[in-house]
Amino acid sequence: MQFFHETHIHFVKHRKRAYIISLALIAAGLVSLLVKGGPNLSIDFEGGTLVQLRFDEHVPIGQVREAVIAAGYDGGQIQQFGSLNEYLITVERISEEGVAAERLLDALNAVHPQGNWTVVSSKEMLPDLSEGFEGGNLVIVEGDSIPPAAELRESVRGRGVGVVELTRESGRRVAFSLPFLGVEATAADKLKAGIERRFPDRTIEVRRTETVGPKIGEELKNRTWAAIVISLFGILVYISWRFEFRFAVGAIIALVHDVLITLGIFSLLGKEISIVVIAAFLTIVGYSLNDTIVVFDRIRENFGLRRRETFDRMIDISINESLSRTVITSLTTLFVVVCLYFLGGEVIHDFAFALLVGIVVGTYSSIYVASPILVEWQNRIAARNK
Amino acid sequence: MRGSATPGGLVKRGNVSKNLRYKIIIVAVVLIASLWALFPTFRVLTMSPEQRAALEVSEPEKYDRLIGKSIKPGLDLKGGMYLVLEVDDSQLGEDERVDVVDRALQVIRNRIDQFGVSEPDIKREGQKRIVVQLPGLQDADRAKRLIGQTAMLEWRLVRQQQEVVPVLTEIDEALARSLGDSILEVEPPADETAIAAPDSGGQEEAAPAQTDSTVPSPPSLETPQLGETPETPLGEVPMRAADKDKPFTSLLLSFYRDWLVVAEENVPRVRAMLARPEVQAAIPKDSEFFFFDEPLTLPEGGRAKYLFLVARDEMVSGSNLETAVAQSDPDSPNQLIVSFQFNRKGGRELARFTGQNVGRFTAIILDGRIRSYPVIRSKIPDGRGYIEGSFTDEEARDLSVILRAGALPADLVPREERSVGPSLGADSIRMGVRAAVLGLAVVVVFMIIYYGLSGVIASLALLFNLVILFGALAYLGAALTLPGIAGIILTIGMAIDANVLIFERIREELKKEKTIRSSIDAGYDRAFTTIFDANLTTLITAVVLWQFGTGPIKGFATTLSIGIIASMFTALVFSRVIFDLWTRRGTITKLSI
Repeated sequence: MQFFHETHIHFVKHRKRAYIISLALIAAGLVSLLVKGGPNLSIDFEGGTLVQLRFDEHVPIGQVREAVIAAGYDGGQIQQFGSLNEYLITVERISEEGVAAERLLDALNAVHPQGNWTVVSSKEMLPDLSEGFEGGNLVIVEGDSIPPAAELRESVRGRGVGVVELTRESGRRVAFSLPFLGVEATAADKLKAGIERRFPDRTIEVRRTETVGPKIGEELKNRTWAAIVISLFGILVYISWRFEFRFAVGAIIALVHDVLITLGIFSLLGKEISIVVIAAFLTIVGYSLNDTIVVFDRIRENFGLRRRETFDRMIDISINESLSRTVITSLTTLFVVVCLYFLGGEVIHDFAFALLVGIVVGTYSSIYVASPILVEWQNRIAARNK
Repeated sequence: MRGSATPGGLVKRGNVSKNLRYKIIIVAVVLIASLWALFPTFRVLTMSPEQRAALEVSEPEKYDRLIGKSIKPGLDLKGGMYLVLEVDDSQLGEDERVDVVDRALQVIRNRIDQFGVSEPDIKREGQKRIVVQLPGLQDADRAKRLIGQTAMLEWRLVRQQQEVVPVLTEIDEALARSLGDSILEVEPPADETAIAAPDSGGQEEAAPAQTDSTVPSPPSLETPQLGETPETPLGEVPMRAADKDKPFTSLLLSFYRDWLVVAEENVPRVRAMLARPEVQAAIPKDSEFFFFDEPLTLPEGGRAKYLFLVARDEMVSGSNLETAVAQSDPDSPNQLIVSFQFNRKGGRELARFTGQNVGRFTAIILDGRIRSYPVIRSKIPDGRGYIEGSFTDEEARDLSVILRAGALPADLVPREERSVGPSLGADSIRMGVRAAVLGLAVVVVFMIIYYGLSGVIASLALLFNLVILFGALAYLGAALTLPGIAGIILTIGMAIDANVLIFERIREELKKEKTIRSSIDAGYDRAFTTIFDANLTTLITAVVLWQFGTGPIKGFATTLSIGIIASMFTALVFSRVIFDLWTRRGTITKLSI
């Protein structure tokens, strides 16, 4: 059996059309990202709590929502997960500066009761790891007869309030920089208790809980960026070495193209970006690259064999020659990813979805983006030489 | 499907060339090594749970070896807990900070070892973090308690009645001064969520009453009638005018021996009052109040809690504890106690402390909670003591473990916590396997339809690929996670790529009217660089993923990397050997491809 006998598709000629489609897709995604204020990051990155529950029989989502609100989490997201009886409840991290300020005030009042302490302001500071700043809560208090900074620090420390930094702002004002409190899984416990209270007759199984603190999330963001940048750099170096620099540029543009489109589709569909989805993105990078290299390899080979052909024609021939393989491989990979998407279970669903989109886009980009970039490059050199 | 018959020129008819013989040997070695690596996994999977348990007891070393060399399900498949803890060293001095994380790590290891979780994974991460992974763990709360407890054990003196009374007076005066008449105009409560006592320790509130639950009613303080007062926001206390000058003592029922009895409904209010700064100032610096968490039933009905005034200075610290054991109480065999033994230094301290305070009550305080309040009958010369307090079997065992393992050198702040129930893990395995098997079937069927007999070769190569992949996972002792299964499934789809590349090339060569043998040779040669470059770049991203990823991502990157390498081997070496064996006689007139 054979799908493609000799094909003679003019890919290079139609590349402008492909650019328009690509740009439109990317633009749609970017607009969605802009409107929604960036990608919808999961608690892996943002911090927060997730609880997956299964009831012994169907319970309407409205009632679950009531229970979540009654437990004190108005902003909690509830979604049906897998079966009718199963729900996933996600609560974003609630900032804790109020609690931190309260604890500090208690400590101050206990140690220096004559101070008449009041909290002027409290705010959460997110970590900025590039500057080595770990983040925490900034609480400014006001009081009478403020003891020296060192004494103040030691005395609240004795009351269990660790102080990162302490600055005297004015005669009566002191700014305390306090570390983040622990996650303690209180949200998960409260949610569980709240649900159990609302449905006393149901048997409820807690299938999964996750709680992530803000610092961990921030670190993960940094590590993810590092992973993306380093792998792109590694690819750039490898392809420049094995092929030519312009091939590397073409490949990288195709990769960015694939990830941008997948990211855009995730944003348009309101899907969350979790750490597992990021892994899928990097796999897309690997896959799309695989595809691109196969075409590049043909181009490299044809450079040596068909010196008389024009550059455009050579690219076309190369893409056509590897078309059969590109499609077959994409098909087999797509088969398994479709199986994973429909049968792999809810937990792996978004991962499989990202791969599904990525494989389609990656196959397209290795044909319509990576190689035409070489044509553009060549044209520019030709124009300059004239 | 295409191709012409010409006798092979390079290979002697009927003979296996030297080159091919080497390749066959390599393939055989890899196959045997992979199967050998998979043998322990096979053993473990085919053992019944009883057999497994029997082996674990009879030959623990062999069992550990077997488990260590077999593929283990990861946390997300087996169920279990993943915990990231950060050591809070802000309260420590410079010299203590140096090795605090390692000491904390050691303490946690000791505690977990005795807790009896199989294959715990406890390691340091970065500067101040400890990652604890407990696969197959059912009771996450218990484990958290066991890990997080600082285990500060103190044996302190309880202040006597005549010492407590003046303190109560001071507190009453301080409160009367600061609250004044305002306490009369307090609004009724807004909502009950405001009740968040400063020291909750609430888990055990539901525990049954303690042994001496019947309290005689000794002469009470001025005891107002209690019980009808509505629930009130903390710190704001509505009261009858008569109690205005005794806001604190009016909430107390009576003295019992050296300590106070507080009706349970008043406990939150008493706690709130005690937390007030002016009250803290009124309490002498050398003492502090503690509730005993377990409620008791009053003879006249209702429940109450004991409130102790405990010395801060007169005490023995548990830092010199040597050992601790859970055992049944010699006096009442149904009760469990935790007996402990101090070392020489601690023993001397204890002897001095008990010698000076015969007849006095003491409080054994663990992590800020009173566990029991024994009376000192006589001097304890040998450093032995015990903690009682209606423990369940589990609690007594955990407490002894914690005491034995030693106190944590610093607080541990949980930063991340994930737990997966066993049923979800089982579902994930079932679904993952189903997706993998179906994916594999679809790919195999497609390949055979599209490439005929060559498709069969590609499918064999794919199976071989999976054998190598699982063998490598077992050999590395790597845990198989859900993303790991996804990586395997992806490998199934992508591994076939190398074969597709080769087959397409062979087809092209055959079109040029080349012989079967030379078409195969040329196909492999031409496809080699492509396969090599394409797979190596994918490998770069997989390795970066492995380097930067945490738990689940690592599992994915591991299977993907092994899968890529294995696919290069099976396509370039294994399927080549089959082709060569198939066509070496040169009698085939048409290559099914």
